Amino acid sequence: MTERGRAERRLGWWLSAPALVAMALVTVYPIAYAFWLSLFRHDLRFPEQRGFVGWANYASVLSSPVWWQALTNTLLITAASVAVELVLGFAMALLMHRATVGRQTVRASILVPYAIITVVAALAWKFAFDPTTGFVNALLGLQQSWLTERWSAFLVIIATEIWKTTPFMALLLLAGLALISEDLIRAARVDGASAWQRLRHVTLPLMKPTIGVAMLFRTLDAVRIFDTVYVQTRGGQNTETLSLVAYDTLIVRLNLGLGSAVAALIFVVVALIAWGFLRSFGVSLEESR
Amino acid sequence: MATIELENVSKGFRGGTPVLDDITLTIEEGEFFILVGPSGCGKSTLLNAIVGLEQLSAGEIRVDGQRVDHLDPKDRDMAMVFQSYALYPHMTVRENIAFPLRLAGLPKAEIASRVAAAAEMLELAAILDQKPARLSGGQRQRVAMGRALVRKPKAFLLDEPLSNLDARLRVQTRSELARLQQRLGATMIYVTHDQTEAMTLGHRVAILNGGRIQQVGAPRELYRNPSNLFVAGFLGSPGMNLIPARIDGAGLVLPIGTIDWKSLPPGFAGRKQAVLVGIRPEHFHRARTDESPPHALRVEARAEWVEWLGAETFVQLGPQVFDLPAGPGGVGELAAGQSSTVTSAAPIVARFDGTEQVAVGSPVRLWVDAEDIYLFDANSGITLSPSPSQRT
Repeated sequence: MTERGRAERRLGWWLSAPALVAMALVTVYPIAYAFWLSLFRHDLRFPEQRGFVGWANYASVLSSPVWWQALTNTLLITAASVAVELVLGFAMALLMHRATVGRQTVRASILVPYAIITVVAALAWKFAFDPTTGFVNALLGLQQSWLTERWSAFLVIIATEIWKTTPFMALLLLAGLALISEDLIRAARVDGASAWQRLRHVTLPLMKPTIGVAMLFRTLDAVRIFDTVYVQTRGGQNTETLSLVAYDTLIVRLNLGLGSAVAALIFVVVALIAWGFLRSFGVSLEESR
Repeated sequence: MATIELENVSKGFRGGTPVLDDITLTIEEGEFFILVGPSGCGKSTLLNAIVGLEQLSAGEIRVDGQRVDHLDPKDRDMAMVFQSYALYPHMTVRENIAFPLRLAGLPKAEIASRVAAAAEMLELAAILDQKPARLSGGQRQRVAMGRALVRKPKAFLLDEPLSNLDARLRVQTRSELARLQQRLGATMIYVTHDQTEAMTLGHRVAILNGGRIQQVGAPRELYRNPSNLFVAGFLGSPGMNLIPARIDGAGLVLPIGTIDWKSLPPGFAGRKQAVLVGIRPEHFHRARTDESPPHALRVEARAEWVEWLGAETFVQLGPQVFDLPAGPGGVGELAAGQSSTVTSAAPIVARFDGTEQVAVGSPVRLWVDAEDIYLFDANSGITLSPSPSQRT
């Protein structure tokens, strides 16, 4: 490497140093500290029993049915909400992309739910599904007590997630749609493609990287679901998710060692999902431009 | 292959000036037809209207007598080559070319043989399995052509297909395209802003400006007998010199000289009117002796600037000799309103053979045959008829 090349490389590191330091402080340090804590018996109710226990906390988490149930619940919510969000979000993105009349209004109204705080949205939907005062029963003519049964509680949680975050999905997909040259769509029309064939053979393949990134973002987000479940069921009716388990162990029961082990395991789950996406979708962030 | 007829085709947006204004044209079977004009003249819109990517506001389009203007592009059986080539980036060259055939539901064997034939014709065989991103501009252009011609469509529509190529490749591809058209006997409609492409490729050329057809004809016809000032100024490089003049008792009076009545067409006798005189650069001849045809405009001027290009020499003639009127109502204003190629600052240019030696600042004696002088109405820009002669 030339002298100039070395100097440029040095300058590059200096320029990214502030960002790297900030990242290290707010992400690397907490992760490392949580991992460190997870190797100790460390319960604030019994501070005198603190001691190094190695992988024992992990063993007790992984051998507990609570963890596996929470993992199942979380994956269920994630899969259902992301799948529906993808389809709805794509439809919305196409609508926003194609809208010629009232473009601003359409975009603004589609994005409203995303601007609402999750806790507020969760509460709003909790009220909506309230058996006596909510509008859902009134609208459907039902007497269903939604949040008292497992399947219907899941339905409410998933519906809230979908309502809240579909706009985010739509926004990411819209960015991808905007990158597809209009000439390609026109060429496909001239080549004899119907609307469905244009979507199937031109738009979707070209959207693949964007879809991958959008699904990755939303999946990682959904795996960490907390607010909605906390507000609507507090994990009742067997709807506890991974974040709720971590919260209960760490904050409610003040068991820093065990709770940190749960948090570290959630990190592993998230990392595995991200790795799987990058592998299967061939998503690389540069390529998704 | 097909005959394409356009009848009173108009396209406009509410409250705006029309993009296409009452266009009537017939494009014959097997014809290489060019739509040419400055940017914004509506030529691409017209092409898109023919293929069906734009809806008409009024008028009819017929292919072999069948109305098609209500049909979707996929039902018009026309192929198009886009300026950007519009190759599908996720497909290989082979898949790109095969795409329209796949959509048409042709059997696999038929698709393979047609793709192979197109690849051979366009020398694409070696790159059939590559993605467009890896191809050069010229290769992409040929793939776009291949995708168009495998379909054996009724007509080919090409929207500035050469404008993204470098100058050398453009000239080469231009002649390849002409040969291809001849070989296929295809009806081709070709949009360009480049007058050289229009002149060299077209069997017939339609010149558009402001959404209206200015003139349709063979390139030679348009060059020799332009119907108005716009056509005269648009074709030719450098463009036709335009000089304000008047017809009166003495004949045609120009700032640079006078032509007597005998040389003017009979219809002008006795008229008095303001005109614009057009003289193509190549029609200035250098007068070495006093010899010149009997009906000629003789000019003495100063060489303001000389450009020697090897085979030819362009000489800018000094305006002070001609004493051209500048300002409102002069040639500048009229020409600027008509065409972007003629501006008020345009000097008078004469073209000589490259062997001619002219020194900057030296006086030059010239003559122009009266036969080669064009007359345009000073207000409307329309060629005054009868024109001095029907030039051939």
